[in-house]
Amino acid sequence: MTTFLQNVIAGIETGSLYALAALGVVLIYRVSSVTNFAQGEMAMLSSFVAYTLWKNLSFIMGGGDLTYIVAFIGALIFAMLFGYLVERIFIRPALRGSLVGKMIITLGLIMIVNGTARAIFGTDTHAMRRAITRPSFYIGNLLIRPNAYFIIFLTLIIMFILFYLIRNTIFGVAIRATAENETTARLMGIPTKKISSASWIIATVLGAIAGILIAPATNVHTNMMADVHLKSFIAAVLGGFTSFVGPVIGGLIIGIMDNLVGYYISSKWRTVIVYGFLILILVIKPAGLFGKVTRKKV
Amino acid sequence: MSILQVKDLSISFGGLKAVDNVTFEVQEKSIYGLIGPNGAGKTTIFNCISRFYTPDEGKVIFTPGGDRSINLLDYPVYKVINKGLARTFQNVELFKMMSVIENIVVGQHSHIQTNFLIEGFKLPKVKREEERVKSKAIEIMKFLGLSGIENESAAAQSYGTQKLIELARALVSEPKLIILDEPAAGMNSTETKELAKLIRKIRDKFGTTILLVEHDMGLVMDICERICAINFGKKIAEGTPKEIQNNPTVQEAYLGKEDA
Amino acid sequence: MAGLNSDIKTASKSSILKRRPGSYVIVGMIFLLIPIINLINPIFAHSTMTLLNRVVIFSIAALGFNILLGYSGQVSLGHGAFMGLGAYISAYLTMRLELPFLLALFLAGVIPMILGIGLGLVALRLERLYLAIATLGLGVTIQHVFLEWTEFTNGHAGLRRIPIPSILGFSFRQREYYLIMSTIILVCLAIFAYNFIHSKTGRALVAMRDSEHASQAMGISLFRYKLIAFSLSTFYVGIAGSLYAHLFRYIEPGTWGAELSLDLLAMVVIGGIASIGGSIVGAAFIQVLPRVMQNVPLLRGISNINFILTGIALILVIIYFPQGIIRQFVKLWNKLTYKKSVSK
Repeated sequence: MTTFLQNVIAGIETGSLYALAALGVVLIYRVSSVTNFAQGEMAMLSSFVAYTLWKNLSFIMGGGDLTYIVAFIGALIFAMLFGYLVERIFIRPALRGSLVGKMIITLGLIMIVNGTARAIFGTDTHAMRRAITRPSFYIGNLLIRPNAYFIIFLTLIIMFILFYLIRNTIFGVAIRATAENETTARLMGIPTKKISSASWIIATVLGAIAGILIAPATNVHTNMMADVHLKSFIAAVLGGFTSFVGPVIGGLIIGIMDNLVGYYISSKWRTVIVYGFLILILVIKPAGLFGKVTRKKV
Repeated sequence: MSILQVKDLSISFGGLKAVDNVTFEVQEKSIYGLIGPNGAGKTTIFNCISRFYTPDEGKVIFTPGGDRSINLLDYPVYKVINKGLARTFQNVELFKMMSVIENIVVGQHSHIQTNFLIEGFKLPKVKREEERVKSKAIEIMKFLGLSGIENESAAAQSYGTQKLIELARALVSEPKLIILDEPAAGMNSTETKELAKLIRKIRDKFGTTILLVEHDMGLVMDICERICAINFGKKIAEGTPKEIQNNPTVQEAYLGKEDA
Repeated sequence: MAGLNSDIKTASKSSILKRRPGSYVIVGMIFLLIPIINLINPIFAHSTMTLLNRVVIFSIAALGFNILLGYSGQVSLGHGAFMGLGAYISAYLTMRLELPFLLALFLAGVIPMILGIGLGLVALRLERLYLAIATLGLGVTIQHVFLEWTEFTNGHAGLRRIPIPSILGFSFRQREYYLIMSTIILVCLAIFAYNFIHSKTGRALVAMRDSEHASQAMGISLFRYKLIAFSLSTFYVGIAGSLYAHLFRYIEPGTWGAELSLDLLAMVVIGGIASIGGSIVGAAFIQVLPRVMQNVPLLRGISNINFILTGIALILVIIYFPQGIIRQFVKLWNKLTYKKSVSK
C-alpha cells in the first residue's frame, strides 16, 4: 500500500508540472488560437538560463538557497521577455493566417530555439539542484520527499492565482472575451493585442517554472523537455482545449499513470502503454474528458 | 405524391428548442417554400434534412422515385446526395482552390466509379469517366449561362456567378430534390427576378423538386406553389402563397420582427 | 499573411512541373545525365552523388507528406517514424528473410500503409489540432519500439550491413547506379501521384481541405478521404525509408524522430504545398542547405546552423510566400518571359 501511495505522490509531483505546462498551452490556444508546439523548447531555454545563472552566481554568492532563488527569478524575468518577443516577432505578423499556418510557425520556432540552445550551450548534460535540498525522511513506512511536496504546493498556489485571475479580474474577463471571439472583443474596446502578449508571457513563465522544477529529475540538456512537452500536450488534449480545469486533471492522470505503469507493469514499455491508453480515451471522447463538442454552424 | 415528408421534427441546442415538432410535406416536382423571420429555425430544419444536424426526434422520409421510401436520418451526411438530394449553402461554399469546372465536377463525386489505384495507373476507365463528367458539367454550365469561364478560378468570380456555380454543382448530380438555402440573399430585385425564372426553368427542364428556404418574401410568393411558415421553431401556417399572405399569424410574425 | 490556402489557383495552373506527367519523364531524364556522365568521366565527388541520392529519396518522402499536408490539409508530426518503419522492414526482409530487393521495397511501402490505415482509423477521428498531437505521440511511440524491440531492430546499436540492392542480378553498389534507380522510382511515384491527384481522389482531397461542409454535401466522406491521404502518404514515406536504408546500409533509431518529421514538414511548406514539383524543390533545399552552409565562413562555426536556418526559412515562407518557393520561381519565370501569369 505504501509503495502504491509513494507512486501516486510521485505521479502527482510530475503530473502537476505537466499540468502547469499544459495550462500555458491552453491559455495561448484560447487567446490567440495558436497551438504552441514550441512551448517545451522555450521552457528548455529558460531552464538553461536558470542553470547558467545558478552556476555562475554560485561563484559570487556561494551555493546557498538565495543563489537559487535569484537564479530562479532571473530565469522567470528572461521567460517573460522571451514570451513577449516571440509573440511580437513571430506570431503577430501571422495573426490573420490559417490555423495550420500558425501551427507551422511554432514548429519552425522549435527548430530555431532548439538549434540556438545547442549552439550556445552545447549538447552536454548538466545536473540541476532541487528547489528544496532537505533530505528525505520516513514517517512510518512512507518516504517523505520535501521537494515533491514543495512542487505540488507551489503548482497549486500558481494554479489558484491563475484561476483567480481568469475568473475574477478584469484581466480575466478580457482574456475570456478574447478567447471567445477576438473580433468582437476588439470591437468592444478590449486591447486584444495586449491580451495576446500577456497570454504568451504568462504561458512562457508557466513553462519555465515547469522546466526548472523538473530539471533535477531530467537534468538540463537540449532535449530535456521533449518528453515533458509531449505529455503536457496530451494532458491538454485529454482535458480538452476548451477548459482550464481539464488540462490540470489531464496532467495529473498522465503523471500518476506513468508512475504506476512504470512500477507495476513494465518500465521498458511504459511510454508505449501510456500513450496507447490515452489515444484510446480520445477515441471514446474525441473532445477530451472535459471539452465540449461544439456543433459547427453550417 | 410527396417526395419529402418531414415528420415531428424537433431539435434543441443547450436546452433551447430550436425546432419544435415541425411537420410538412413536399409534393413531387413542386416548388416549396420554407419561410420565417430571422432565427425562426428555417436553416436548422434545412440542416436536419440535409443531415448536417441530427434531430432529437422526428423523421425525414424521402421518396426519390417511385415507391421506395427511406428515412434520411438513417444515412450519414455524405450519403444524402447519392440518394438524390442536393443542397446549396447560405454563404456560398465553393472550393476556392479549384477552377469553375472542377468545382462543378465535384458534384458528381459519388457517380464516378474509380478509385485512387486505377486513377494512379491511369487505366482507360479513368479517362472515360473524366470525359463523361466533364461533358456533363459543361452541359449544365451552358444551361445556366456559365459557358466560357470553365478554367477560371472559382474564387475570382462575382458573388452572383458564385451562387450559380454552386447551383450547377448541386444540379450536376442529377438530384430528385434540390434544397436551396436563401438563394436570394445579397441580390437586388432584378437579380432576384432572374433567379426566380431560373428556378422555374430548372424544375421544368429536369423535373427536379425544389425546396426553398427564404427570408425574403418576394421571391417565395412569386414562385412557390406551397409555403410553410415557421416562427420560434414552430410551424405557424401552411398553404398557398395567397393563404400565407393573408394569414394573420404570419403577418404578425413578420411585422413584429420588423418593429423590433 | 494570406494563410496556407489562398490564391493557389493562379499559380497551380502555370507551374512548370505540374503541366503533365510527360514533363516529369523529361526532367528526370535530364537529371539522369549527371550520374551517366559521371560514370563515363567522374566530375562529381562520391559525396555529391550521395547528396543527390539523398535529395531524390527525400523527394519521395516529401511527395508523400505533401499528399497529406498539402492536398488534404492534415498535419502529421509522426511521418519520420513511418519512414523509419519502411527502413527497418526493408532491412529485415532482405537480411533475415533474404527476399529480393524489389519485393522488400514494395512491402516497405505496403506494411507501413496497412499500419497507417489501422492507426488512421483511430487517430483520424480526432479534430485536426488533436491529430498533430496524436501523431507526435505516435511517432515517439514507434521510435520507442525501434529502441526496445531489439530482435527486430538491434536497438540502440542499429542495423549494419544492410544488403546492397540488386535487381535481376544487377547490383546497385555504385552511387551513380543507385541514383539512376531511385530517380526512376521517384518519377514513377510522381506520375502516379499526379494521376490520382488530377482525378476523383485528388479533387475530393482538395475539396475537403477547402470546405468540409460543401464536400460532405457533395458526397465526400471526410473520414474515408482523410484515411486515403494518410495511408497513401505512409506508403510513399515507407518507400523512401527503404531506399534510405539500402543506400547507407546502416540505420539506427535516432534518425526517425520528431526532428525528421519536422524536416519533412519544412520540405513541403518551403517547397510548395499541394505541388509535386514543390515537394522536390523543398527536399532539395533541406538536403543541400547543410552542404552550402559548410562553405559559408562565419556561420560555419555555429553547430546546428542548418536546423536554425530551416526554422527561419519555414517561418518566412509561411508568412511571406505561403504558396512555397516553387510558385515564386514560376511567377519570376513568367515575368521574365512576359507570359500572362494566369493561363487559360
